[in-house]
Amino acid sequence: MKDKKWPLPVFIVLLLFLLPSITGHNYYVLHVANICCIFTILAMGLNMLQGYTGLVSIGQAGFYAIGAYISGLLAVKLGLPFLICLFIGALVASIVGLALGLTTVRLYGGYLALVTVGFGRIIQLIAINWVEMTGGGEGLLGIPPAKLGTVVLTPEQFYYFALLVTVILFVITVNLVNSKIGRALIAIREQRIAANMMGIDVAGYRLIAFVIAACYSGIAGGLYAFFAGSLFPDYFSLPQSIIILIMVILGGAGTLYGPIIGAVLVTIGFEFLRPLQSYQMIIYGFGVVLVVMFMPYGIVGVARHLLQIMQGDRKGSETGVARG
Amino acid sequence: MLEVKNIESKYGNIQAISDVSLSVKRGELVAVVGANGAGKSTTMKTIMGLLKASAGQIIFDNKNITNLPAHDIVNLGIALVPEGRMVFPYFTVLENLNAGAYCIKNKAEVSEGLNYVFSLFPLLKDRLHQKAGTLSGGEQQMLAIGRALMSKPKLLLMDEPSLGLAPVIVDKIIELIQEIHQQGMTILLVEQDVYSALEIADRGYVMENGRIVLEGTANELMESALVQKKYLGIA
Repeated sequence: MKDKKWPLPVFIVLLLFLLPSITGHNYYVLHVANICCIFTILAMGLNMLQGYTGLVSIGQAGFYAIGAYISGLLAVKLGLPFLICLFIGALVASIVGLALGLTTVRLYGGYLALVTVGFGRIIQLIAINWVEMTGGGEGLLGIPPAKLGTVVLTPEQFYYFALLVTVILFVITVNLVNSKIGRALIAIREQRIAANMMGIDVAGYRLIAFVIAACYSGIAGGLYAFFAGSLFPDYFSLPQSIIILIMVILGGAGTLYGPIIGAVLVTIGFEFLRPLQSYQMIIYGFGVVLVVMFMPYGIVGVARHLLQIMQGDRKGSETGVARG
Repeated sequence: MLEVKNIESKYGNIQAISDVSLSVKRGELVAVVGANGAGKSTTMKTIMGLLKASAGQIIFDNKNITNLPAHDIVNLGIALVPEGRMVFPYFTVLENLNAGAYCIKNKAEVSEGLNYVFSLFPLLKDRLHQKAGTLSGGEQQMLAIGRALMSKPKLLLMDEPSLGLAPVIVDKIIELIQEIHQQGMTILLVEQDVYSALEIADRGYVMENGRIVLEGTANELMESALVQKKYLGIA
């Protein structure tokens, strides 16, 4: 967890900023790269909850939808500037996250997961049925393109912006995880009662994790709204929540890089597996079963394990194994 | 230092303890003994704020701590060595100990605490970077005690430190508890191993069916007919 090797991440980020030039400003590549950024943010948010605190949420699409619809509506109905829409979308998602966290403060495991499924569905139903506001199934159309100041962002510039937001959120995540908050969350995941006995306010820190996850999802939603230009309720569905969960688990829950790797792999995977249409989910479902059974820390866990073997670090090799 | 007055506690509708009163004075080692299910651990959990007291009062250092959230109680200076040890299995020994010092802001105090714990349990120092889950039961118990001491408590609650340990190890743990006590720690010890507990305690309480049925100095309890017959197997 103590990755102090900054040069490599910095190099990768630089490479990502150069991506449009390298790929000859290909519009399709840009599209996929934007989606990767958005899902990375979603997965990083859920990772705080699922990976670091050990709380399962299958309702992140709900927060995603809140961020998207609030941002989109503010832009369409009130004509507010892009950044303000994004900010308020994230804020509202955070407040709803706080409310959901407060009402579920005593729930763990499967019970909590069920409530979050219900929550995601409620938000989706609101988006479908509140037709005057959200446009219902017809969709919320005509979200203006993102503008910074007076400059209308081109798809390429929008990608730079989304990438910048992703990098900022990643840096925030790294700092959070290595702070007192991160240590408290991990302690709660490992032994809730013992953590409480150490003087950790379990209920309070749970709320923090909930709000962080909701806030990240809200930001992702806002980005999506301006990226897509229109919003449809069926996009913010239960499968969408499960996909976010799959990204976290596949990449490595409770690791810093896991959600990024998971989000990018699954997003690109969807592109390659497009001919299979909805059969894709079978592959992902199967993949998750394998990951959970054989690589509990996901791809990052396996990579770490291999690295240790290569370095001949026998002692450390036991650390890659299961987590509670 | 700790004054528990007529507390009651319930699991749902089932009354687990009723009218439990006990006190611990500064510097004392007080034992609460009794059979399985007598309500000893429930009493501990209620003091610690993990269970709500439906009646009664708990006073610590002249402050009413009844039904305060557990983390606040820890910050006031009570630490619990929980039943079943509950170390963080995937944390290293050092990480476990640092977690124990969570409520301590001053870094110098933390390293002071670490040194104290290592002086008590030199063995832990050798295993600093080993995962706690790979320690033996006795070592985990030592770690749990060390972790609790890291918060610099004024009062140490210990819930069944002998649970699931081999008799030789139990003796060792009991000895260590005595040592910690002799260095000035106030301790409330809950134990099923009546003999071991009363041997090192100053005073004690015997619990049965959620009530305190007998109290006195450790010697008085040792010699009482009830304890001799029921718990020590002396006819």
